[in-house]
Amino acid sequence: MRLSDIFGIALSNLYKSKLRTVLTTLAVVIGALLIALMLSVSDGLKSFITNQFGSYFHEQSITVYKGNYSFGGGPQEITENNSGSTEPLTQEDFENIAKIANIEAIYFNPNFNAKSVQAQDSDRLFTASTSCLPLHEQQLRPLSVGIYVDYEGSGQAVISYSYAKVFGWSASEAIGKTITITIGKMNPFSTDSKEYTFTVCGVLDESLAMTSIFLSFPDAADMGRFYADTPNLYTEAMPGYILTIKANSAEDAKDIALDIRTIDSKLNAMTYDDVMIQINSAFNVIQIGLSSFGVIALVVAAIGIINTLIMAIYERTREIGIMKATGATKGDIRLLFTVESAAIGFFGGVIGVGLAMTIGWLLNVIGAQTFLSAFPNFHLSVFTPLVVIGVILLTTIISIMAGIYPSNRAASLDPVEALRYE
Amino acid sequence: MQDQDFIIVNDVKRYYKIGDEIVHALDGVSLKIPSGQFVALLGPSGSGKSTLLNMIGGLDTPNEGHITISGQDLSEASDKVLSSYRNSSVGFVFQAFNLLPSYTAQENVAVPLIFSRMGKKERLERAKDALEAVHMPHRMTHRPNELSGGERQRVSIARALVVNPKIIIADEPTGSLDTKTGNHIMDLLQELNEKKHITLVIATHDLSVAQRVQRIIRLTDGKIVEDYMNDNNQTVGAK
Repeated sequence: MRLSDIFGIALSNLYKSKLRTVLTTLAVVIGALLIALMLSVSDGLKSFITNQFGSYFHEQSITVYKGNYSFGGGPQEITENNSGSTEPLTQEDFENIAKIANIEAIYFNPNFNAKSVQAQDSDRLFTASTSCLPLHEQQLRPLSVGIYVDYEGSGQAVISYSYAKVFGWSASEAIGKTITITIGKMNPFSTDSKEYTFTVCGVLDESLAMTSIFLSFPDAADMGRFYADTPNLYTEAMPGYILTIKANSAEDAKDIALDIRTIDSKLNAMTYDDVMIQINSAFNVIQIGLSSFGVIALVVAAIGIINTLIMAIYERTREIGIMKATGATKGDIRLLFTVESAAIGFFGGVIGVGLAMTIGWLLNVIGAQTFLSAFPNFHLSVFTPLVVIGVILLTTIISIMAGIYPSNRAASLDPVEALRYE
Repeated sequence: MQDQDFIIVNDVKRYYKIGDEIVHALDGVSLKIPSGQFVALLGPSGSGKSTLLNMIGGLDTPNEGHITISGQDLSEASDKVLSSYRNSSVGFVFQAFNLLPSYTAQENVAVPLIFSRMGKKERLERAKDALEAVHMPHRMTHRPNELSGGERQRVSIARALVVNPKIIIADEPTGSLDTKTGNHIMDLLQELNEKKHITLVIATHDLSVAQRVQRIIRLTDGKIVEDYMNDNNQTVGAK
């Protein structure tokens, strides 16, 4: 048989029993729709999360801390390897880390809770959230206007768009304005406080969903020392809780992280890859969980296909007999039924994915105007070619598998009996 | 030139198991049919004539014995060989016509050519010629339910004819038709036998039908009980 005849006959057979074909295909459509939509939504969330983390985490960066973060649970025994909480890094730790090859720079992470921030010519106070980032990390966050903070300089600040907004400035108006940050003491009973005034040199892009004020290291370190009442904090003698390392390259970062972990089992080193692996593995679980509904629907659809094809064999027994008497081989008959089941799966997949894309598009449009308006760059539903092609392929393959038994049954019909069948 | 050993049936046995009982449809049948002969297998239902016909047509294979067509043994042939034999060497005509209801007469006639991998245009052209050969050119676009019994049988003969077969197998070709129409169908088969030298083997339980052919083989209980040349076949059908 020619391929064109096989497809022609298979499709015309499906067309002849329209209602049954439509109902059988509908089950496939529902399965494909569910799988495609769930995958697209989790892809959307995943790309949103990875983009967000991408803007916080540089590929060459390694974050080092000591001890464990504990998140509730039962009592844990404190042992040599489990300190039960994070510990400050020591001079010895710093020196050991500094000996590792291929490190471009080591940065301290000044950390304190500021009391408030206030714009010039205003008496309104706002909570202050500050960070001190080296230039290459700052550069991951695009600026709307101005320049980044000079890491080694003093008296400058870059503010996020959210601060400009609450201070009542447009991004360009903010440049050159001053802000004042008030720092108290770590000891909550102390009433001491100190004011630091900065000139705004840049405003972050509106698309960054963050609230932050970037400061230079000398300023931030000074504020941190005042806060903790510890003058030699953020020096080699007293590195603080977190160190950020810049490796010579992204490849080196992985090796350095390994080396750090071998210095002391309490030392933790996290690279960009580690973060991404954690995000991806979490999303894989979510994707499998969400798609399982669609898979269940597809299994039901497969049973429907088997049923439809077996019914078709009963209806077309005589026709199969005629085909065999006029020269059709077993393979011809088998192929004919296989193509019919494949066609149900293929068209069901195409329609299902098409509907899913339409619903996904509607979700994005409606979401952008309502519940997702705060995240202009976030698309809830993202269809990658892998999802589109993969789902159609999946429904087609499942349908072909469902067609194996009916196809073989049709192919092995005895032509003499088939011709006699009433 | 006539091939005396065109169809050789050699001690063929075919039995079916029905429950614990073994039914012998054919019980040691041997015969030879030369090419171009018009043969009738005559017998009551259950005598084994359809079983023998199906074996000559390659639709069924014997449990014991051999069937050879033009030197090719069909008894142990594969599905592929048998399919190709049915496709290119044999044409079937059935009592119940066995036409595909959703196809037109022309499309029905063209069905065997689908399995010869012929292109659609050429298929329909050949089907048209075959329908002309059975005097049905005016009914090409009609579906089977728009045709009379006789017309349907002509379409099914055209389908048998379209592959230029060496043999036409007809199982009770007049069984569903009235006498007059049956006679016309027999006229047509006779014409094909004489003009195209196609070997024709028909099964019938009707002696008047059998008497229109060259040779009559009478079967009872799966055995040949009589096999003779019918010398007056030319005169009987001339009504």
